[in-house]
Order: sequence, then structure tokens, then C-alpha cells
Amino acid sequence: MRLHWLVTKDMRIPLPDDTKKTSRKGFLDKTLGDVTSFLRDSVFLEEYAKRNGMLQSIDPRVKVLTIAVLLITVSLIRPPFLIGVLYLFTLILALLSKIPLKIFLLRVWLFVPLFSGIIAIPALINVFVPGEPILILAKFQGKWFIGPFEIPEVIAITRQGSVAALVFVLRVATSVSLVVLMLLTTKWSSLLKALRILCIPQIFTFIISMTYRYIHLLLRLLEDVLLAKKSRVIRRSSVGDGQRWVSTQMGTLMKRSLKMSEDVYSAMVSRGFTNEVKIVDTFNIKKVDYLWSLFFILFVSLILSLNRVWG
Amino acid sequence: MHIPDGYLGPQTYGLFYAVMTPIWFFASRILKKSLRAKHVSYLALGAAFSFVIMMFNIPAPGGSTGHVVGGTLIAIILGPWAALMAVSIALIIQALLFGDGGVTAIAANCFNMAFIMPFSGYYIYKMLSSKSEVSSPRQIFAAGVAGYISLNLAAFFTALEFGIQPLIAHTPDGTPLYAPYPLSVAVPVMAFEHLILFGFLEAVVTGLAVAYVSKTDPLMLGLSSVAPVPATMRTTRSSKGLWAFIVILVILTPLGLLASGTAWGEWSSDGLHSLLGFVPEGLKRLEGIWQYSFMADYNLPGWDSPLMAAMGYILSALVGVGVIVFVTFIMSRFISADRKS
Repeated sequence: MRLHWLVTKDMRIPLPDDTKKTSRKGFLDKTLGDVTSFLRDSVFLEEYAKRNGMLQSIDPRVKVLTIAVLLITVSLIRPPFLIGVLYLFTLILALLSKIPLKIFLLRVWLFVPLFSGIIAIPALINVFVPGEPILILAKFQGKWFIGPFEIPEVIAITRQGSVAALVFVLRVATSVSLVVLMLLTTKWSSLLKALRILCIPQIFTFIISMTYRYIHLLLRLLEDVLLAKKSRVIRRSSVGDGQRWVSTQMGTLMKRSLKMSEDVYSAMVSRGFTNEVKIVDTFNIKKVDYLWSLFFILFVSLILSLNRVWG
Repeated sequence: MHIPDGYLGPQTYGLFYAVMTPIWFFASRILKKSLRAKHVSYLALGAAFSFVIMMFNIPAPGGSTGHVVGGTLIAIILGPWAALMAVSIALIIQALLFGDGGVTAIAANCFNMAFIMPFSGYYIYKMLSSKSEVSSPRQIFAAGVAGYISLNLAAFFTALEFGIQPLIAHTPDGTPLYAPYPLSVAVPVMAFEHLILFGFLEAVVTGLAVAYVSKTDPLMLGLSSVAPVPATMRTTRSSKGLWAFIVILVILTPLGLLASGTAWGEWSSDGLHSLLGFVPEGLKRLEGIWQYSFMADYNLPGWDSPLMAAMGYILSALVGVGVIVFVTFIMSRFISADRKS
């Protein structure tokens, strides 16, 4: 028998309880789901980083720097139209980097509407953001109060409020898109090395990379614990019991990790670690990096000067 | 409580990078001194643990679940400085790898969850549990209260950060540019959910975890007394409160923009004229002697839009604080060098 699943590309680890989408999952299933999706994500993120797209071919240092500058640019500009242009720019970059648009949009917009989209809705009305009314929703006899909040006589959607909500959602979506682009097109290890260009000390990035490795180890330990518990449970435990169990697990995990840090330290010392970190750099700046940088500088200065004119 | 990208304007997140950089630097020096080479593995495992803690779903009444930050729990066991670094690294990984919390907002998030929370939690715990037995009910109670208060403090700072956005960054017609809600909305909403629900979750988990650790491995709670401040760095301990105070003051500088009028005693001669009806002769002569300031009126030349003005204001505050700190630092260098010789 051919082990078909070994050679297929789809390496997804099945989520527990994936079939029945009940809204009242217990804390065990939820945590288990979070843990597995973390482990799955960290495998899948590398998948796109290996493709030969545009952003993947750019030196990670140049990429980190340019994405950082773009993030700051997004936070600086004011006209909604310009932010929209930058958002379209991220979409084009995603396409050029061979990231399926569906996956890219899902990753960004699953987060944005859930959080910022809902938050932005009340900003439309003049209760929260005062301004010129463009659509009247309700009229009352005089002002009234709910607790400390003043409810005005006329409740209306304001021009300022709608622009604010639009700018807010666009800005969040564009920023998130940029970060997602960086994540999807860069291997974690080279991303960390590239962080040095932002003047982050080597020892710090070294600790971050170690942390990342041990997160995996601790999560595998946790996964075992959760599965062991799940397989021995036949009814929903009370809230108090659940909380006690979770806290106990945290305590155990903490003890384990402190013990492990001692072991890791001994292992490092016995292999010659002298508190000095040297990371081998294998980056080299190529023609495409110069081209990208040139284009990038022109693009950002254009956006910023348009912002000056319209803002 | 993770602030995403786009919620804070550049003047706010920039400020937090400026505030957190020296704090991180300071913390890593302290840890390097007290733990030597061991600090690498200690921090890596501490940070990994901190990351995993945030992933736990905690059952809450009504069948729902919530997450905890765990800043106080980690501070109680590892000490506040190690907790600062551990939680920061966990937050950085969350932002860079999972887009959980903004990249521009990393420093602000670290300030709330990795600085305010562990430090306030640690000292509240120390204060309430003073001299009590390691696994006594008082210790557990202290840990719970510390968890509750510190989480609410962190939430309060988070609310302040995006509550001031409409004040410091809006277009001339009053359209907010970043997070749109004023302090009067942001603070009560954040405070409400943390006072009612998340604070209690944090309290229960912190208390129970400390209870468990103190019962099974009481030595672990003793660890924090080794980790935070070695004898050679004693001076930093006494100034810790002061530093926190300065940091809070810098953050509050934009609030000064809200007040109308000038600070008492800082009138220009025009202002004085309208107050008193006349201008003292001597003052008239003295005024205008100093014409050469780089940042006149706490602003940069050409930065006249409200956004840029606010940014200039904070930049001025930062430059001011930075210069003072730098000068003091140089002076202290000389003074301590003298003592040694």
C-alpha cells in the first residue's frame, strides 16, 4: 500500500472537533484547537516563503526595512484615497509574490472585520464622534443621559464619523496586510537575522529564536497534557474545577520550563557557549534589491508628497 | 488587550518605542549582571512559557472562556525584570509571526502588558504578602489581588493610549484619524470588561497557580528574590519608582495640549499684560534675550498642522527628557568614578 498521505502536499493537522461547529466548545477543545492551529501555521507559513515570487527574492534585510517604512507611511498619511492606494499596492505585491489572493484576503479580513470593523460601526453616529449630520436616525425630546454619556437630541450618522470609520478600517487593513505579506514571504529564521538591520542586538534575536523553538516544545508538552485530559473526561467540569486544573497546568509547565532552562544552560556551556552570540550571515544584496529599493523610494516619496498636497 | 496596527498614531507609538528602548536596555543589563551567561536560556524558556500561558483558554462563568496575560504570575516567580523581558519577547513573537498585536504598536503593548503589569503586580504582591509564610492563604490572596489590579492597570493604560488618539490626531473638521473613540468612551468600556470579567480570571489563575507552585515547589517562589536586583545594582532599585513616574509623566504630556491657557507662572509678557494690566519693566527686557532655541514653543519649524504640532510637542518632551537623562547619566558616571578612586 502506498502511503499516499505522506507524499501529498496537504499536511494539515486535523483540528479536533472540526466537523461539528458548536459554539459552546469547552476550554479544553479551544486550547487544543489553538495549539494545533499554531503548530499548523508555523509549518504552513514557510510554504509560501519557499515560492519564487517577487518579495521572496528580495533580501530579507531590505524587505524588513521597506515594510517597516511602509508601515510608518500608512500611519502618517491622511486622505482615505491614498490609504486605499496603499492597500491596492499590498494586493499587487501579494499577487506578484504568488500568494493566493483568497488566502491573503482571508488572513487579513478575518481579523479586520472581527475586531476593528465592529469597533468602527458606532463611530458613525454622533453619540461617539460629533460632526455634521448626513443621515438622521432618530429624534428625541431634548438631551438625555445614560450614566456619564450624553445622548444628543438628534442621533445621526455624521460625515466626520463615516470618514473616521473608513480611514480607521482602511488603515488597519493596510497595516495588517503589510505584516501578513512580510510573514508569508520570509522564512522565520531569515526574518530574525534581518531584524538586525533595525539595530536590534544579536543576543536579543538569538533569545527570540530560542524562545520560538521552545514554544514548540512546550506546546507539544501541553498538547499531550490536553489530550490526556480530554481522553479521560466524560462530562463537562464545573467552572471552578476547570480554572483550578488550568492553573495547576500552568504551574507544572512553569516548573518544567525552569528546570529545562537549567538543562539547556548546562547543555550550552558543555558545547562551548561563552555568552557571545555570532550569527552567520548569508545575505547578499542583488540587482533586484537595488531595483526594488529605487522603486520603493520613489513610490513612498510620491505618496508622502501627495499626502502633503491633499492632507 | 493587544493593540493592532492602525489604532495609534505615529506620535503615540513612536513615543512608546522611545520609552521602552531604554527600559529594555536597562532590564537586559540587570539580568545579564545577575544571571551571567545563564540569562539566555532563562529568558528564552521564560518567554516561551509566557507565550504558552497566553494561549490557555480559561473557563469563565456562563460557558464562555477567556485568556489571561499572566504578567503578574511570571513576575512573582521570575521577578519583575525577567518578566519584563519574557513577556516582551512573547509579545514580539506574537506580533511578528502571527500578526497578533500590531508591529508599530509592539512597544505600546509591551509597555502595558510587559512593564506596567508585571511591575505593579509584583510590588502589590510583595506589599500584601509581606513576611507571611510561603504557602499561606495570605500569599495566595495577595497574588490574586495583584493579578486583578495589575491587569486593570494595564487595561487602563491601553484605554488611555487609544482614548487620546481623537484628541491629538484629527483633521481640522474634527474627523479622528486613528482609533475614533475619545477617553470618555474608551476608558469606561475597557475598564468595564476588565473590572467585571477578565480581572477576575487573571486573579483566579494567578492565585491558584501561585498556590500550586508554593505547595509543590516552595523554592520556586524564592527564586524571584534572587533574580530581580543583584547587590551591585542596588542604586537602580531606589530610583525605580522615580523612573516609572517620569515615564508616566512623558506619556501624559499630550494631555497638556487639552488644557486651555498657559501653565501658572509661565506667562509670556503678552499673557501677563492681559492678566495684570501691565508688564514689569525688567521682564520686558529679559524676554527675548534667548532667541536661539531649536524647538521654539515646543515645536519644530514648519510643523504647523495639528498632527505635526502634536508630534512636535511630544518630540520636544522626549528630547527634553532625553537630554536631562543623558546629562544626569554622564554626571553620575563621573561621580561614581570619583568614589571608586
